[in-house]
Amino acid sequence: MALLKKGEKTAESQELGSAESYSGHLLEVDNLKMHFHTKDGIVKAVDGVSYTLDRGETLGIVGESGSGKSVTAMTIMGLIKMPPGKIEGGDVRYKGKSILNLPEEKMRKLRGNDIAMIFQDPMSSLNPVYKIGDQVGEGLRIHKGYSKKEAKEAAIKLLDLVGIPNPSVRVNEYPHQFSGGMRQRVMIAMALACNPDIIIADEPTTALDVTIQAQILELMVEMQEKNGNAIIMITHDLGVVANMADKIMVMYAGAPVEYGSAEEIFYESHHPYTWGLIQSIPEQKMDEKKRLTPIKGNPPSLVDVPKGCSFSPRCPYAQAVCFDKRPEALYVGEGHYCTCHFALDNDFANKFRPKSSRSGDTEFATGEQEHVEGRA
Amino acid sequence: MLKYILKRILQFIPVFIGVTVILFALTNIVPGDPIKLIAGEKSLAPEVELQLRAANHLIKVDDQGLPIFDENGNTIPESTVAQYGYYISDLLHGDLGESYQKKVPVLDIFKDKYPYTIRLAAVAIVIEIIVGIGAGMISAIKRYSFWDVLVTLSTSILVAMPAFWLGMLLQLFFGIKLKEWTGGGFYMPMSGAGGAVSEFQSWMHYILPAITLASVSTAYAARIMRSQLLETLNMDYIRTAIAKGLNSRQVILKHALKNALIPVVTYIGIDFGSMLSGAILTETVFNWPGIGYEIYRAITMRDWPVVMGGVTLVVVVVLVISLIVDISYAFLDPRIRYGNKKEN
Repeated sequence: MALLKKGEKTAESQELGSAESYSGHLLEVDNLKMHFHTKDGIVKAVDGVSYTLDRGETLGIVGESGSGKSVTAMTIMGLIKMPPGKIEGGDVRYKGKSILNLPEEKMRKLRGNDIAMIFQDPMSSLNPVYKIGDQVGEGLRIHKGYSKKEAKEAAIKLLDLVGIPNPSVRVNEYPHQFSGGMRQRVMIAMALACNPDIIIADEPTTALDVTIQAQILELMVEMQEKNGNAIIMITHDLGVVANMADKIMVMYAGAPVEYGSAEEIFYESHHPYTWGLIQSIPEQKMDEKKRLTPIKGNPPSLVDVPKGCSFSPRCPYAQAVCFDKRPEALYVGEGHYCTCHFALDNDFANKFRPKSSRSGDTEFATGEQEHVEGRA
Repeated sequence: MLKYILKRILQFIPVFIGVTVILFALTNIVPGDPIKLIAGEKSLAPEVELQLRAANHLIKVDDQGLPIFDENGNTIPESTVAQYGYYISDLLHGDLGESYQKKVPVLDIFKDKYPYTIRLAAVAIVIEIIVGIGAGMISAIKRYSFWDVLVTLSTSILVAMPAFWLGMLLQLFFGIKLKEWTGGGFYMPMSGAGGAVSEFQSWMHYILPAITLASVSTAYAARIMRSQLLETLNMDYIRTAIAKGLNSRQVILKHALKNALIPVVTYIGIDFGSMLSGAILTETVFNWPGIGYEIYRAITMRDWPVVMGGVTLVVVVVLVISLIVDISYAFLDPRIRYGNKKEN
């Protein structure tokens, strides 16, 4: 971004590996397992998650509440309290180096500087007693050694960048003087401040109005084009990542059930759970009333995951083998895997896969407006 | 803001009227002739008694302040409403009357006594702020540690312990026993503020009474601080601050503390107001020449002008302190900006 010259990083972050010293992916998550040891037993919140992320790429992580999406992200950021959390296996590599066992001090240098996070609820994620400008510029002060004045100037530019009108005035205001959408823009500005390589957005639009949701998503794409950062977009709504993700990982009960490019997930998916998610996206047909197709039942308790396929109790196509044996990840294409016993059975997939288009194929969620007009 | 302060000051008027009416009514309801109280054991000559009744607005008087008699030659009792009017009028002129027993203006008594109460309250509040907030913070940050258990336990004990008893224990240990053990070399002064030789020695007198006065509220302040800080540390914006790369000291001291302090400041502020109203128990145990002890003395002696004057003074002080506390919110919490409703 404009505020910082390319490659302007502190000495500490260079220590972790500059662009030259690694050849692989920007971020690699390798069979990550995060379990919580509670009174009621071991909660396997994340149980074997793997993915890779490259510069400029967007990964969508989709799943129901409690499927382990957020815990994966928090584990990468080192935000999980341990105990009760415990890493039971796997690794997270940033620029080729493991960051899971990094000492807290080094991890702090990474947070906000190299990997930044946008949280779900902008109403409660900003400190009510400090000015917006202080909060946006704070990262620059601690990571880049900006003076108070420099940080404020940078904050004004950042607020302008994320489309907050009148930034030189707004910078001195407090969070309660901002609307929800504006606060989420502030959160984005805050995440962008130190020009991080990766931005993890944990359901950034869940708490916002539909029209504002579209604006925020557009803003994130726009910022990504400008800065070339990678995005991990966590959501429970396939529609949100439809137009922005390069790759999508569908999670269920703490583990990925299908992973592939956005095209593959939307048009060539092989997992019945993915189909269920696709079917639950509302269609934009004006003249036809159609009921949504929900996935029946509830996700399993993560203390007591079913013996076989974790989705088997809810899967309409489940066979005896599904209740008995845990399915392996089967590659149905290059970089596209699916953890279903029938993943390689093309007849099965072709027979039951829903015919679905991406939600709002034209543009982001502008359908909402049309929908209203259509009814009138 | 200015408008808010002005509004608050205007609100003082009804409170003030209410308090004076209650005070006046109470002292009138209590049986006993004030003139007899003034006279004490002595019997008064009828002319003197008449003069006193006239001067105290108990009977109707003419322009020269001489008593008016009815056709039978008796004095006419002044109506209660008129008596209240005289009382308020005197009050507004800064005249709180004269002590029945001490025969000096009430205002002079409090001018003399109040500094002791203020200084004692100031020392106590400093203890409360430093120890209360400090212990609460340590307890919250090192939750479930030895220090947390120590703080939780000792605050429970302090809250349960009557202040006067704590005062006596302190006197026993630091005043008497310590003196014995050190052969009179080192001990804490245990009573009164007088008799001090040096400035340092006079301040030493404040330590034990201030600890006694601050004990219960310090324990409460520590508990409020602990629970508030723990609650604040669970907030989403704390997670945001950690995700930004701040260290735990920055997270706690900058992001959590200011939010957690708001209720603590309220409590300490109100407590300071009540300390300035005089601490009857502490002042009595330590024989402290403050207003609490003076009001207590006046009540037992039915010295009504002193009681009324003292309580009125205390009410005004409490009102002003509570206004200051409310104004201080605005500096801690930007969501409270009195008077301007700029929200969107």
